[in-house]
Amino acid sequence: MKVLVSSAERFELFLERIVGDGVLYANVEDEEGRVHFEKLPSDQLTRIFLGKARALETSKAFFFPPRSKVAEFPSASPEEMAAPQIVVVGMRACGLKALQILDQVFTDDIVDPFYQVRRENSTIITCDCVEPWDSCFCTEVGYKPYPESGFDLNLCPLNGQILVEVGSEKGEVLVRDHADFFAEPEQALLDQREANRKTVFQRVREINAHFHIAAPFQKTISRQLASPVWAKNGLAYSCVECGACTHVCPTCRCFLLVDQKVRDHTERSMVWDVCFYPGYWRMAGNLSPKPVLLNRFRNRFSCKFDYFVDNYQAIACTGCGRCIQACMGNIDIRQCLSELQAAEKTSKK
Amino acid sequence: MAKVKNPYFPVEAEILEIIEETPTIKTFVLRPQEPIVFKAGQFMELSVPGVGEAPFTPSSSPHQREKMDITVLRTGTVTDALHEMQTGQKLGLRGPYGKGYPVDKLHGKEVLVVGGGVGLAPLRSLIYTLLEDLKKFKRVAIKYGARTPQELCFHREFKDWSSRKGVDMEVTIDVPAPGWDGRVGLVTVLLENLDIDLKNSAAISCGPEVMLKFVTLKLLEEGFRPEQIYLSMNRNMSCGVGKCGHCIVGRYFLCKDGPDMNYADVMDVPDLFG
Repeated sequence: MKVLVSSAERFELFLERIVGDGVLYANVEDEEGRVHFEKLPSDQLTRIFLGKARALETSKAFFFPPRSKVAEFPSASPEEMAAPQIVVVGMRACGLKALQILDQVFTDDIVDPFYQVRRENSTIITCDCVEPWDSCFCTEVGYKPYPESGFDLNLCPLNGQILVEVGSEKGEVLVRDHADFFAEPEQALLDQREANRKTVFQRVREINAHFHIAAPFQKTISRQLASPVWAKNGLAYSCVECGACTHVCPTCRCFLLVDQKVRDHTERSMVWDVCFYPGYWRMAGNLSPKPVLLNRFRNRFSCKFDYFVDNYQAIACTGCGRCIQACMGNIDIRQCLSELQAAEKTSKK
Repeated sequence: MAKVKNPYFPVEAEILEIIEETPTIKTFVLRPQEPIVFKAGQFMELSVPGVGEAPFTPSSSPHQREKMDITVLRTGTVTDALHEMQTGQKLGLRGPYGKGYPVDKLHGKEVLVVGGGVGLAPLRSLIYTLLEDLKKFKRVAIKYGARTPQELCFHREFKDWSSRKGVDMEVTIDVPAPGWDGRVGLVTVLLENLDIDLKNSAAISCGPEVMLKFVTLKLLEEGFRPEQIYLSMNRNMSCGVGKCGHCIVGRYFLCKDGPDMNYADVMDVPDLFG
């Protein structure tokens, strides 16, 4: 695909032009060195940070908000779907992969028009990872710390310059309409990008070497459901059912439709839900197919590594590691997978 | 502006009539603003305005287009509010969702219909479907259980159903009751020593999970193969369109792939019956 070069300053000007009246969400770095997604006004573009790795927050919220109104009734006229134009800068390969998974969920046979219009009105500008977090493990689930397709533009910051790869027709139009901001890169820069990518890939592998996990996971998960490693002082032991992992997860997509009376009509909202909550499974008469935490805990693994593969031909984990950072019970999904694969090896012997 | 149908928006429906089936079960006869075409076993998301939504399978014949019966046991927030509603009031309907009962696969077979409590509601829609085309089925055997004689749903229609040629019906109540001279025991007692052609039959069951579990075990014990058993599975569906995740049973979404599942497809799913 076509790769161009720009400078940090010129790229900011380019962004200012393309955002226009829309909304820009970009990565910024805080005082403690953490990376966040923030809504940036046009006079703060110098704060954009393209270093390190993925932000603390998941970018799924731009397309699938924690709470959003989806219906109001009775209503005289049919609603129209609308969403502001947004530009997202700094999503990493893991977030983009997750977005492709959500695309499948929300726009397969029955289309969620709210999600669809937010996606249509978005420009996705991703970025190579520069310095992975200790919780990063994309390489261990079969992905890479740099995106190869599915973005509009992908950035690679190199010594004050930015390599800009074009990944879609939308991206192509953007750079063509603003050709002044871009130039042809020298081969040395492209070579440097390749070298950096190899280094970061290796770095992620090193971070995770001691877990000894390897995709695929489907057979392991489906065969180890009864394994003792889940229970007793095992994997589910320190889970406090807070839902932090599912909220920060870029692929967790469970929601509940909640109705509220507002004056003389009903407002229906789509609200994020969590399969760890007992109430998630509760049916009429207080019955539940999963009254025990252990079974709900296990479900998250079955859902991500088994059911998703059957239904969407991809595991619903992109190795972003946010759940590892968010868990107050110090549950590390890599450790879970590692113990399950070890159990699988033992049971095969 | 995208103009795509909003799958979360309900169609308005008026309550034409309310029938008290039992002290805790009412049938709501509804007239939707626009006719809703459904197949037996497909379900609706019913909204009580300002309160919430819950999934119910219509209990009326799919051939009856202008009106739809929904039979509801009073058991939670939405159903409490629904039971308080009066004729003339409006509520919301989304759907139909799911695949419905595999009626085509029952052609030429002896069909065993097994219901428990309010579980007879979705089955009533199936029974009407079978009755309307009885020649296509070798036999329809209805087995129904409720806790007490007062809790037998659609009692008023039993005589009509069982008087039809090729249809037989047996009813049981959980514990003996004054004035009851019929069968006593859980619905599984009606499945013992079944006089049925095992090679050419299928069973369809609807009721609480625990009942489905014991009905399945009993049928297997009686010689049914898993592929011959269909279960109307229960989960608290929210979206109805295979996205929200609440109704997953293994890899299946009950709202899209069910709610009636072939036991052979789901028998290995963890926590199938809770």
